Amino acid sequence: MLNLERIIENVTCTFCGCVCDDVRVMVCQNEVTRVERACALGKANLMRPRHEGGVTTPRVDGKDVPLEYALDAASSILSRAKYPLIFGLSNTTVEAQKVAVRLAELIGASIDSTSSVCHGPGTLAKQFAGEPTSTLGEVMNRADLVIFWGSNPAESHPRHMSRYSVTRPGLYAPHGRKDRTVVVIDVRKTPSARAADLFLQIKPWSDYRILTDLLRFIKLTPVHRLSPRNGPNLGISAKESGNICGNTNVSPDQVGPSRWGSGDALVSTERAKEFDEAQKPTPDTLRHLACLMKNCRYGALFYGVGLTMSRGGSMNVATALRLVRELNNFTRFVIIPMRGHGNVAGIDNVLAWRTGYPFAVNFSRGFPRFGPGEFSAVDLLCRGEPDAVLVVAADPASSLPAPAVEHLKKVPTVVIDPYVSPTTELARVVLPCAKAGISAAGTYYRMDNVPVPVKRLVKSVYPSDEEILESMVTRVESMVMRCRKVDVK
Amino acid sequence: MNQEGARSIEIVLLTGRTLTQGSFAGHGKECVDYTREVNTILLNQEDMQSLGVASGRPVKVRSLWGEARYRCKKGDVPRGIGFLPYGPAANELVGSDTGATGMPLYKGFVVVVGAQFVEP
Repeated sequence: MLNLERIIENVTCTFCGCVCDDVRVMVCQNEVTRVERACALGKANLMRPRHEGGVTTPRVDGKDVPLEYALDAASSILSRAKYPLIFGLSNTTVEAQKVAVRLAELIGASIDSTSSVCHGPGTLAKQFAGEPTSTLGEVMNRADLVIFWGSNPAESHPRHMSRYSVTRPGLYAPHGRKDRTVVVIDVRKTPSARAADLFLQIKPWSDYRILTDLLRFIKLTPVHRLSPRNGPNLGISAKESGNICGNTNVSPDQVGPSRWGSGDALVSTERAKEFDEAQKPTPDTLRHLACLMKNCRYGALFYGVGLTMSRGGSMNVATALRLVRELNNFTRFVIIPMRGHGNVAGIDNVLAWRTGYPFAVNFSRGFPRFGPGEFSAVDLLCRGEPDAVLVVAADPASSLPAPAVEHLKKVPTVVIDPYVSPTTELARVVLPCAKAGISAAGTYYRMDNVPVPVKRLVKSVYPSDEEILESMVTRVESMVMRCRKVDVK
Repeated sequence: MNQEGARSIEIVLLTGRTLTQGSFAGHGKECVDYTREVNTILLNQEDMQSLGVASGRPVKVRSLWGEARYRCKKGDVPRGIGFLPYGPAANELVGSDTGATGMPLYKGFVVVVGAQFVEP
């Protein structure tokens, strides 16, 4: 047999929310042998052989069983449960997510994604503050100010800076990095901070206060546009704009951007050196940052879990959204969450279009109800409420707090996952599946809610998540019908 | 003999992603590299000195919700702050209260770090 290597272009990496779709993959004898253009995380995701050192067949109670038997056992557990929970779904395709929502409705389950322990508070904030947003392509082509707040893309989204936000030349930023000012705001000096022009090191729990201060400074600092070549001049002089802002004491020279020359980013190289060391969030620094934000041509604020996972998560994000909304009175500014899991934006979208709510949805009364804190996975599990759990493409045993994992160990758990994990180890039923983006095709949503098709690179002996969930839906439907007939009799 | 560390300090703990942890996030969590990464807490040099521990030595970390032992390592973190990669080890310290948002406090909670003289 010939060992011919097949090259597949424009492969979509499904690891993180960047969903890079320009990866080149070499496949030989149904194995991915080489990956090009992907980051370290993407390579690890695409190259890792499935089930290395672990189970390779469906399991029930620790014993290898045929797939049909495992499907029957899983369907039986879920259809008999009085208050089941479906969790995960952020590393699988939109097509599988749709079937999971149907299954949740059928068995009256609570359905929650890893979104609730990722950007859930941010999603709550959007519901009451709105989200001035754009696609990453627009940021790449237009942004001259990029801010990362509570996010470390160098380690969590390694290609974000080079592919979308910082170094890649765009239509209105032809010199890439030179045309952009990069600001990183974080509690610790992350690898991303080293790539920034301005690194603002803040204290834990101070995000809300600093965002509120910035909001105030935005109203106080004057607008002073760069030259027409560098950005759209609204026909208002700096002095006039200062008057409009209600602050006539600040001269354009004090503000800064005008002396940094056209064609450069808002922070010049000389100035960047000054910012080599971390800046403290003093009033002067914040005023300067407010000035950068207000006077940029197109700004993008990327916020990470540093805002959502710390104290006051939803209020932090709501204030950031208000700040960006306010900035749009003066310039074009957008805000985009740095979504972690590959298709976590997808499950938010699927749940929203199917039920009206983005996560923590409950079907126990036959219609969808939204209840973060009530129907979210961590709360349900820590209160010990679910009597059966279906986990799809997630590893709650590694990602949820210990009390939640303790309850997972007590109840029958069904896991659909292509890989061995601490969750498969504690599960009653394990259903190995084809990995989305490697051995199963479908659709993923990027962090900016743009749907991206994912390819099948190799063949798998296992069905996809979607096929497994479809089989379970069929089985559960027949079980439910049987129960109804018995009730009628 | 299991000697408890005499010195301890209070710090604010952050959990988060690292490249090594992320590389094994989907699969391969049984690997030694992953286990070592998620069981290593990054501390400020001065905090380590005040604890009297060197890089690679074990420390005991206690929060309101649990406690666990980790190896400590000098990291680029400010004084009074510690960093732990996401993983089962970090989740031992995370509480169950979500403040009605569904999200427990993974970042910015107070823990007590004590020097340990036994291997973790």
